[in-house]
Amino acid sequence: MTGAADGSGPPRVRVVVVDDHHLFRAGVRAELLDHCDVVGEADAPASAVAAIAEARPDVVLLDVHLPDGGGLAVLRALDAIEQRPAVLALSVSDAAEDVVPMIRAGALGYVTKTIGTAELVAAIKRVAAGDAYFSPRLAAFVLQAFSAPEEAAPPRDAGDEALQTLTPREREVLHHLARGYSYKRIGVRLDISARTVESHVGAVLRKLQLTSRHEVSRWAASRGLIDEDDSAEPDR
Amino acid sequence: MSAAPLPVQPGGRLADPLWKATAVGGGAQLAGLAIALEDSSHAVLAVSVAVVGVVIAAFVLAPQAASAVHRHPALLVIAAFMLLALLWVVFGLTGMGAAHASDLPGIHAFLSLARAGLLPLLLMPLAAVGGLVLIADALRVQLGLARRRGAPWQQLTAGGPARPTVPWRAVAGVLLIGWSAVLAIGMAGPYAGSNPLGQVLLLVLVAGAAAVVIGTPLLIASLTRADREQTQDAHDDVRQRFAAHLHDSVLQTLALVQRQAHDPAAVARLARRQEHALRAWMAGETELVGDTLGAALRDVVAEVEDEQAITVELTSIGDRPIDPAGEALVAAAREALRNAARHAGGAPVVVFAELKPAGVEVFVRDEGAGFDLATVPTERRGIRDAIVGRMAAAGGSATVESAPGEGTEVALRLGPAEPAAGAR
Repeated sequence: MTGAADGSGPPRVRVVVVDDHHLFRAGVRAELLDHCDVVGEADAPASAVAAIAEARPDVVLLDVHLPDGGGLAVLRALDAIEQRPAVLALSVSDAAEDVVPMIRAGALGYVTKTIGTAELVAAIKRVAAGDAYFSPRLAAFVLQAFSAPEEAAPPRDAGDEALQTLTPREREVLHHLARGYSYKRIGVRLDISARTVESHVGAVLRKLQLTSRHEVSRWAASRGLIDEDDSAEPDR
Repeated sequence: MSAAPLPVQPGGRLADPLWKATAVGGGAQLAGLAIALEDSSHAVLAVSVAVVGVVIAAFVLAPQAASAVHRHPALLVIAAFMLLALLWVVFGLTGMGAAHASDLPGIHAFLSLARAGLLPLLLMPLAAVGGLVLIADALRVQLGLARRRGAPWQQLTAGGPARPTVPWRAVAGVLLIGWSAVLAIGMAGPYAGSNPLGQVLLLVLVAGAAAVVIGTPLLIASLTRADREQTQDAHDDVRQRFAAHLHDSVLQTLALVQRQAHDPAAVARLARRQEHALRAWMAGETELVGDTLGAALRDVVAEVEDEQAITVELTSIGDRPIDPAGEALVAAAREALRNAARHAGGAPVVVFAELKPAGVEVFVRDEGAGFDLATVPTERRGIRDAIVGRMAAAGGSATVESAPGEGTEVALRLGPAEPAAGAR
């Protein structure tokens, strides 16, 4: 089933699209036609898990806002799947409270639905290779989230410190990403290889996933996001 | 006078095992009472049987009662009141029976004491408190405070106040309080009845107590009502602001989109601009429209997007009030954006703004062809000078980085932010 037509190029990436808007799925399918194989579609977490288990894609394009638990439910269900596919989250929302939980739950990247085709394909290929994809906006979010402890650093143990802060190099890489530089250009500018840039971004992604909720939630609170979240969530 | 927890007894069907258990418990209590009445020398047996009955009834009914009370808090008061009334009656009767029992002086003394003063003393505050609780509960329901809080949006769109119903709770509460007043008069009457002054004093005291008891919840209720009206006003304000904003922005854009349906580029531009505006509004970033550097930058981005028909990805971190230097930076950013738009070749222009109190850095970057800085034509050098000169005059700096095939980045800086990219 893998794109056999072009023997010269690399194998086409197999993608499952999970979104509850039929029109959006159709649009993505049409957009990706020349670049990827859309091997499955789903409109809810349960059908998404089934479709992913059946189609065994390389990449899942996962909408954040789905009925019955949203994209987070799918990400959690995928933990149980062998050979977990890479997940690229996408949403109309680029609000921090949508972006950060998806990354923390294991998505390798996050893009908004207004992304252009070329960038979407680039993002899909990047996460298919197991690398993180940070859009400029996500990079800026992360920079901001991790810059909080600089201003008012609470005492914490040294083991945690490495997770809670970014190294100067990681900061530089993120800064360039936020400014719209490609990995290759960043590598040239910082005099490192593109592969090293990738590994820095991967390290940031892991920190974002592993670090305690502390910084991220404080950052969310500073943006006035916590209260909204609290009142919207409980179904008592 | 059957089992005490009658008020919370569910359904009452004979087939219901819970009802059977309740009946057994009630029967045991009645049997204990009968034994005590028939032969007072068996007081211990009577009390034991009655206690067994109470335990059976309580054991079965406690969870039921708990859930019933959870649904209707007023039941708790009624149940307690009924229990006390029952005890009063039982104590009164057994007390009569025990009057003949000279072999158990301890119990006798206790019973007569209880009959004489303790129980009325207990009943009086209980009835008063019960009445208060009932009135408060009725007011709570009446004022709609007992309604569950919905999501903010639901609250925003919820209908008017709840329709008034018969306030039976309040009526029962007033009756209870009145009864407790009667009890009080009955108790204190014999002592005060001898002189007219004492009677007047007692009446005044009872009337004052009644006024306090009835007035306090009313006062609280009226305060709560005022509070609620304020909240309602605030909600109305929010709703109006929502409507006004949607009208000014989204509906306006949709109308424009319909009129320009033949021009895909224009539609895309309109949609793009509206999207930015709506996002900023939802994120609360436009509450300070025009007063901050971030807002001014957003305006400039939207302006150039419209003017040049390009897409600009703007991300900004932080914000700070705008000052003359900030205005210069915004003007320089406009030039940089126009420059980028002309040379981006349709690719999106990325703007990253770090707006910190300590310093500002704004990066305008396009993925266009780029150029060799040494060989720029004079007209482009002019633009560059306009940007650089403007920033220098404002006490900041601007740098242009470009190379053929590498795109172009203009960095605008203000304040003590260091030139090295974020490597802090």
